[in-house]
Amino acid sequence: MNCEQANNLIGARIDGEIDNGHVAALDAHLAECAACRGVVEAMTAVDADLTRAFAPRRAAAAAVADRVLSQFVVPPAVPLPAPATTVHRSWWASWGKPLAAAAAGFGLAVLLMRPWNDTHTPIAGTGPSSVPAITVANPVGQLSLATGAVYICPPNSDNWRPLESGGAVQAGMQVRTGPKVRCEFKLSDGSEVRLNADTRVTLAAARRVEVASGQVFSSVHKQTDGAPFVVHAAPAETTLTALGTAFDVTCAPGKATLTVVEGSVKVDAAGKQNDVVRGGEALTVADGHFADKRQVENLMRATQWVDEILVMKGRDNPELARRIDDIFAQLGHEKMWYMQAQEVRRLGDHCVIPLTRYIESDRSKRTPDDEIKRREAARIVADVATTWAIPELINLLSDNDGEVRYAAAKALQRLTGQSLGRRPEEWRDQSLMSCNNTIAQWHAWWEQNKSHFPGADPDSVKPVELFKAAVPKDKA
Amino acid sequence: MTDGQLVRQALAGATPAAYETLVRRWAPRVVGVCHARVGRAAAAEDLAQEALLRGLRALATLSDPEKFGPWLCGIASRTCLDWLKKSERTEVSLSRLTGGSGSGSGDDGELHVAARGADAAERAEQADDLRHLMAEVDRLPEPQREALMLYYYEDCTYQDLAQRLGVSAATVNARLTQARMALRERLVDRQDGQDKDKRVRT
Repeated sequence: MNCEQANNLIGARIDGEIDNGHVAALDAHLAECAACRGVVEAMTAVDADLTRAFAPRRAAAAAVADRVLSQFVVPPAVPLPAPATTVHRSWWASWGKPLAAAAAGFGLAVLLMRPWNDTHTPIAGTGPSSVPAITVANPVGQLSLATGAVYICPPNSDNWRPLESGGAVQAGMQVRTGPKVRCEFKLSDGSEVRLNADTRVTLAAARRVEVASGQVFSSVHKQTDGAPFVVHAAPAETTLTALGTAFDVTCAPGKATLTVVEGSVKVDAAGKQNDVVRGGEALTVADGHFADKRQVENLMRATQWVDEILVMKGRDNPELARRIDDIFAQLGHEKMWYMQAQEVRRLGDHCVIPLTRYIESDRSKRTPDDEIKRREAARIVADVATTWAIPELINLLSDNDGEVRYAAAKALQRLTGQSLGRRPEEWRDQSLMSCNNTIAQWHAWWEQNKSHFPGADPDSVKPVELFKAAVPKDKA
Repeated sequence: MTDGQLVRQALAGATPAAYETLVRRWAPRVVGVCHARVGRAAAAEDLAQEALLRGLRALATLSDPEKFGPWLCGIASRTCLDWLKKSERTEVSLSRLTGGSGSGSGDDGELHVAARGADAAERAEQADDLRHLMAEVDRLPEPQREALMLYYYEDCTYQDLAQRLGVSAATVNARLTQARMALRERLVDRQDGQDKDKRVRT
């Protein structure tokens, strides 16, 4: 036995892992080797020190478990996965999801084509540009958009009257919408409050909305002084304090359901229970108690009623753009998870936008299994993309995953004949930071050459936003 | 009860205790994974908490319930990777490269011992030694650091660690031994340096 072997056995003995067959041989070596006897002493001391040093860390891990258990709300039971021996897929598994994806695509087309614009004319204003200046003293907001008649009423009164487009609302004023009418108020702090049909609220103050019934979506403008934005859901005696966020609340008698789209919302239910609900989560409060907290599978679908208002704001509206991107990402997600790769490939370059948005979205970054699908999506995009997709591929060069960058670089080489000095393998094997210069070169190259690639949308590349995100601070 | 059985129970809604058992069983390892990845105890706890919550919420998407552990550790690794990329850990890397004292476990408040009197001074010195030891752990090469962190964060066998790390039990033994030897060497160097300082002062 040499000293290196003896050292390993010393470690194993300290850890209680030594094989009985090796004990005698180790003891024989130690009897002869003073150096290894010193190692026994040293390693025992280090082990004791490490055990002491890690004691608070183990306690901290137990505290982490406590915190997780206090925050986690057990979801309702879900059907168990089918046994592994089952080879036949149900009709729904085979076709239902693709059809749902197709339906979502149809919904998107409806959204983009805006057929409702041809069928009715909004009574109130049709866009922010039509909104006149506020003239009411101390207004808390003004009606910026509406698809029909919106009525207001002073506090403690029943004298309802229609509100003109751009009309200002004073603090304490009640507001209601009728059937099929949706509207948006721009508040004096920059926040936006959207009312669904058959909704009644009081704009109590600049950053306080009291909901009596119906559905309200709040897009909160963060205040530098940290002033809270509060929505009080009266039927459920529930107070929602936004922490710089976008959220939806639906009120029914004795009940309120909160859906958080971005950021987080602090919920206080009649002073009995409180919690923080984060983006992607929903919470129902009934009779002053939390009834159900859950992850929302499809946020855009859950809040799709606001799309009608956003579409009225025009194509350049960033919130609308984000929601459309998410719809595409959802389509891409469903294509990747519910269709065979070969079936997706057969869609040709029609699948490039959904798959690209899927790769760029959080939908493809939730679990380790997503990583496999994400990379597969990148390979499909790389194989089927045509020249119009060059800007999309340039955007993918800034992806955190080297495999995605590799696929994008291969496609760019195929479509443009260029590598700009960096082989596809280098995009995969080297860090994103080391790729920054070449990413900048690709953006510059595109600016110079985009006229040679008719069909590509010159505005679809996002050089400023993505490039800044990828450049380290000291080089930006 | 195996992880797979617990996952099935949890998904079937049979008992919330199944979730609790899974969390308590895996929390030390997840914190260990995060600590090994990011090298900062406080950040590791936050990231582990996030990873555990993500894992529980995505439990229904786990295709093989028996692989809950590796799946969860994968989520933890990915959570850490995202955090490292987002927060540009350059100052940590630099301090590691130069052996600066600003690395690693400086945020281990639990190791601080209030110094009052001679006995307290000794305890404070011991606490300082343990802080230094944790900082040295952070400077170990990643394979050794990972094995050491996971081993000391939880009571596990070489075989458990071997499965987790995808290596043989003999390799786990060798990595732990190398790590302890390296730590011992660095602590001795430090002690020698402190002794020299004391002689110079006296």
